[in-house]
Amino acid sequence: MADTNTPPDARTEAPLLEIRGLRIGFPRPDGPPLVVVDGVDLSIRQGEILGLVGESGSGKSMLALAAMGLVPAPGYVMAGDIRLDGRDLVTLSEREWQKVRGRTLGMVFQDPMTGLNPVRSVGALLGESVRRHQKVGPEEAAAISEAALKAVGIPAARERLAAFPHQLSGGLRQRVMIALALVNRPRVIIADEPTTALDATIQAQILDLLRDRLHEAGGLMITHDLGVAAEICDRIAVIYHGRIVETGRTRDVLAAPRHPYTAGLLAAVPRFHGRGTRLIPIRGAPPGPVSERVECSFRPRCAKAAPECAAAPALEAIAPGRSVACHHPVAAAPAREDAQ
Amino acid sequence: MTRSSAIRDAMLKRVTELAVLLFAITTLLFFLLRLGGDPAMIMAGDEADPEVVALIRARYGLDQPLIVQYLRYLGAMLTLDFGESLRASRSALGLVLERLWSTLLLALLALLITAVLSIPLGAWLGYRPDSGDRKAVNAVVFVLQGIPGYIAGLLLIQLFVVELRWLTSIGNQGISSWILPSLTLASFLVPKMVRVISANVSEAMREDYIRTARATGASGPELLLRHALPNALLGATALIGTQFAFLMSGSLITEVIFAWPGFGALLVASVTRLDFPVVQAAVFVIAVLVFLVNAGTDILFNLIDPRLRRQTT
Ligand SMILES: Nc1ncnc2c1ncn2[C@@H]1O[C@H](COP(=O)(O)OP(=O)(O)O)[C@@H](O)[C@H]1O
Ligand SMILES: [Mg+2]
Repeated sequence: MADTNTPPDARTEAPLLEIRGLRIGFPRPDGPPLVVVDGVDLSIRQGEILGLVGESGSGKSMLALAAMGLVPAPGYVMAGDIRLDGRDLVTLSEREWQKVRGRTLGMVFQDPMTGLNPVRSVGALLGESVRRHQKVGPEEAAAISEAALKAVGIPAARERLAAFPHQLSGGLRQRVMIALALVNRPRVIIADEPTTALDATIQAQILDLLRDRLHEAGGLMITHDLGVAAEICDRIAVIYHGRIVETGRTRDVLAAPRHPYTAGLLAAVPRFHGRGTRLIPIRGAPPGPVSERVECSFRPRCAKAAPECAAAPALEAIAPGRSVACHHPVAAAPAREDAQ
Repeated sequence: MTRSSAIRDAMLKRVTELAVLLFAITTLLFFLLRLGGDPAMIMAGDEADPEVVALIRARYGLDQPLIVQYLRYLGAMLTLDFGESLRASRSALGLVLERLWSTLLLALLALLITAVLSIPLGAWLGYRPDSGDRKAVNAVVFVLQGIPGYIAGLLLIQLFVVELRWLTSIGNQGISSWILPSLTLASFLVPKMVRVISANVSEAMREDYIRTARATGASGPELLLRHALPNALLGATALIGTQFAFLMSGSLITEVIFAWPGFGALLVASVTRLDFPVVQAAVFVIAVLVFLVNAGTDILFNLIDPRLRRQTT
């Protein structure tokens, strides 16, 4: 498939993480598997944050877990490549995966209240990961852990090593979760809805932190909130019903969404919404997972649906670094003059 | 409220509970025992002279109206005076306490065996509860849980004493004689604890923090031993209190089977002989013991669960 979602200036640089044709399925006893991620291509370069945006149930978490080799059974990767620095991960054994997780790939999960072991101290959690991947003694591991806590903006880092999760606020816990993802300086950090469980004010702080830390490596920022993606992502990929429907540089996508679904998402974000007009939620709900796709999955909800939409459209380049999967994309001229 | 006054209040509440509990148990016991028969007749024997029986009654105050006996009994109990054994002319409480250590030794050994057997087995079962071999073991444990504990004791005696002649089954004659009774007593607890621990482990393995640990590269054994098991065992410590009470009732049967010189056997013998003072003293001691273990578990729980530990920062 053509390299369609690469900005021209970055084209020479090989991607850090490259996903090609990824399909993830759940077997069914009475028929072919349900496909929840269906032929996704993504790439992330050094120093770049890619936003993966879509409604709940669209397959974002499954994609992230596949990149970590953690698709929950009975789900499995049906097809595709996941390459990290050119090395194929899909074929790794569990033992090899364990050397990659936490070392070259770090992951931040959504809920810091349940995501940290209640009976392990912060220092024990971090130190365990450091000593698993780096040949250091306990003192050096503690020093590395402390540095990681400092890097995520936790005050009194040394004392916090002795703290247990319940002694920390939600915001601090999420910082610890981020420290856990980056303590071994991974090449790519995946953050799955890292601010969804947090208060609005804390959300902004955590986004600032992620913007800095993810840019130092490569970042995959997963969110259902286009506004959050707009804050920190260099590029955006919009996922709908297990497929990427639109990609492009963040400012291009926000200025002129080409897929009707992206346009709908944008219209539902208060910050991008013109004053005096109504917020327009996308009508209807996304379809459940299917085994085989015939029509465009967005067709039942789409205002522009036409007879051609009975055949699912492919993702095609429409400009350098910009692609869309739609038979009737929204006009290229800014659909909403207030979108900036 | 300051911390020390909170602790004082908690202790006061506990002590009040204990006092109410002891009052209720001893009162109930007093009247129940009097329904059972006339101890003077039993002491004197079936063929005894009525005058002898009357003498015995007078000696132990059994000729007084029941309410007087009860009030006397309550008054004496306040000073921990349960009277003399009707059989041995010795202090009833002294008899019980003398036997206490044998019972505690047995209980401790049984707890140790229970921990050694049920922690690894429970962890193994709970780690992947859906795999075929573990389902089979789980079914066996489930069946074992339904078998009364004393059956285990009888089977052990049949095998090791009668068939193999490796061990003895009578009394406390040193370490080799501890094995069968403590195994028997442990058999009361093991199936239950295996099931609790395996359920806790399999629940913990589904928690979000396990996925977080996986994402840092933890292997299967690390997930189990460092992340799931500590949480599972913490949950199981809350059961120590109730399981100890269960252990005490198991020790009655076990001690009778093995003629173990503990106070369980003493209690059973005293009930059949209507030796009221000893029965009352033994039940009193068991109640205090169970209470102490429960209170101790609470304190232990507060010490080892970081969520309950006081913040030190
Ligand atoms: N065990 C499962 N069996 C079948 N389908 C599943 C299972 N787990 C998740 N799914 C489906 O996979 C799809 C993608 O889920 P997910 O990646 O969690 O979505 P998102 O993170 O975008 O909200 C959903 O439609 C969900 O119903
Ligand atoms: Mg999700």
